[in-house]
Amino acid sequence: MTHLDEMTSLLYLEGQLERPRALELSAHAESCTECRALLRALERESRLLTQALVEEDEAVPARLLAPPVRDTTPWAWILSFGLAAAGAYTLWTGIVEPWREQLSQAGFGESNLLTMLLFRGAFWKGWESMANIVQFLAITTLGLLAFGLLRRSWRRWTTIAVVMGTILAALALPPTAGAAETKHVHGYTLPAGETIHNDLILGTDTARIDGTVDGDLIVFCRSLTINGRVIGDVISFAQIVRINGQVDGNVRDFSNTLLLSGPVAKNAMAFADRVELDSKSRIGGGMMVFAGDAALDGRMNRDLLGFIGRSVLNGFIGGNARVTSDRLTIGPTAEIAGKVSYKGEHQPEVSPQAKLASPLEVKIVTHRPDYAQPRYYWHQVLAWGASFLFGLVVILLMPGFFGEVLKASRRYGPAFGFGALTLLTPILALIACVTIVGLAVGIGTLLLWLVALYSAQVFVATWLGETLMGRPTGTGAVIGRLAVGLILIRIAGALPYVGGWIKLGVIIWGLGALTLALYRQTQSQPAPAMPAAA
Amino acid sequence: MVDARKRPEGMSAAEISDAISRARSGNSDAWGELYRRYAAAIFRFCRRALPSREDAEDATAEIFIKVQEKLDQYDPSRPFSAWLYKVATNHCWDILRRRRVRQDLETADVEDLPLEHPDPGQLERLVEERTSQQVRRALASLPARARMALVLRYYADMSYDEIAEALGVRRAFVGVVLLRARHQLREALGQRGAAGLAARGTP
Repeated sequence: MTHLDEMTSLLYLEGQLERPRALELSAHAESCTECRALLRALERESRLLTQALVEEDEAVPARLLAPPVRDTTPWAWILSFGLAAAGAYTLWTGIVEPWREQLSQAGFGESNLLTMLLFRGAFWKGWESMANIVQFLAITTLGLLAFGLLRRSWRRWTTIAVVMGTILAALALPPTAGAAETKHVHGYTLPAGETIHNDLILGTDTARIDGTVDGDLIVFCRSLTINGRVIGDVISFAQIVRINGQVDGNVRDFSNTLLLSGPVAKNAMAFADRVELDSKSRIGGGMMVFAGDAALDGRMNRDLLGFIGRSVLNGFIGGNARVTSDRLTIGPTAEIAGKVSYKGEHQPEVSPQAKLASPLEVKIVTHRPDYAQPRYYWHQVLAWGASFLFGLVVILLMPGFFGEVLKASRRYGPAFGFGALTLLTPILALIACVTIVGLAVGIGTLLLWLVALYSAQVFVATWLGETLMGRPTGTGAVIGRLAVGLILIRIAGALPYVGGWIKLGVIIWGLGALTLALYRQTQSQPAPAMPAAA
Repeated sequence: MVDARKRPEGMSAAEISDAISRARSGNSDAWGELYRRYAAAIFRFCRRALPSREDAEDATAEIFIKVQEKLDQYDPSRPFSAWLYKVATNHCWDILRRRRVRQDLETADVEDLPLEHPDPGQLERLVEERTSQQVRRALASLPARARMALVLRYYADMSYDEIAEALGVRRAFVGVVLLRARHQLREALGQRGAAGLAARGTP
């Protein structure tokens, strides 16, 4: 008989041969050292294989300790929705409604808060330009890319949900491109006498508009000066904004300093550290000011609504003035046709020459410590509920990733280092906003970063709970530790003086752990482990 | 040989079949007993068959939910673990198929290549030098079907008939699939192992 081939030897060892053939083989192996050696080697290989496969090299995960039940989570979801509904209701009745009321009283009634905040013009044009197929394709491609990168490490549906959510968010943001003219340059000047018959979107260091923009002007820059004319709205994100020219639409300004010295046909809104309206300024509608300091001169035909640190009124106000402020000064040249109401800590100084149509309504608020108000505790409970809810969703939807972050959070050093680095993300995001990368990416990054900031406490809280109560044995136990940890962090964060630092530490630590885990997820895909998806 | 299907510690065959019949009538304690008895084995099975730990966790939970639902269809005259592994195999194989991780490489053209006859001495040395951890790592790098075949045979201890059914190949072909898988594993072990040994400074 010739030597055995490997296939036959394997079948023989595994008892897959007919009995007569097997007997024949074993007789041959008796006499043949070479075949005996092969059989022995194959058998040892089988043993090594079985040993490698059966060996209990890692513990069974905690969530598998108890039998799984379909729909284990209805109670968690009911609780979640309950908490979410309570939170939303409180938020609405406590903050949004009163605001809306105040806004409509202040002459902004025609547009509700949301469109107001999202500065209707830009938002609407964003939707229009969404039809721009190129942009749509770009975002979809990005989404698919993200999906491809993430699908291996995340569960399928979670990934789809996250990616779809991100795409929707990206689409909902006002995209930069579209029908408008978009410019990313170092310095931009629209010379006098020139007209742009279109919306103009600028991302630049300094922008100077001496000519005419027959459309909206949307600017991200360090310094913006308008000497010419803008026929649409002006929406500015800048360090300093000077408007000396004429604006036929609204002004929505988010800046450090706003200096207004020309006519604005409609309303003005400013979120700024310093707002100055000089005597040449004219506002056809009303104005809303959120500012550290505001000196308001000139003429305003309708209401003023102000949340201002220190405010000085010197000009004419055609409607009512409502000012919530630390200090209010009404100068001798001031003239207010409607009612004036002031809410603040200090008595207002009113010049006797000022012309007020009705007596000043004053409400002095003495700042009691927060601790003395029952509302404070209710808010603390709500805030705790919100963070708990958030943690719950993370644990239930992404248990694997949650575990990874938790593991990363146990390495304090790297976590803190990475966390401090990640804190700088907004700078990058802002750069993205102004440069070629585009507004959507920048704002998207910023939003993600905010979510990450918020989620930091969840991971640190779970770590804290674990440290105090021991490693958890199941999902329920993890949730318990999360709840306890969040309570402790909330209490510590409310301590006077050190509370702020504790909060900062928690954020840096959690953010770092999150970054580390994400980094490892991208690194730890063992390339040869699985053939790539076809 | 270690048999992963060995009877449970503290649970005799009679106790198992008793627990099964109670579980079938809806007794959750009995189901809990069965679960605790087999969960680790099934998890390990999934861990060997699927690419990631998360996949294995999910699959284990899903398999037991499936088993609980289909408990009525179980034929008590056959071993319970065999049935359990069959459900598990189908589930894992479905997952792999859905993700289309089976490479085109696995189709005929490579399968027709003749296998080189091994040198017994060399093979024995390779087997001796490699740790089970190295074997596991090498296994993870194999194509899905090769890995699945090895897991079914050497972990779940399935018969050739069962493997043929699970993988959808002819009965006569199972031996070839297994042998080919072992060759691929040897190759992976040879490469990885060689690198590992070199790193440790031994030839």
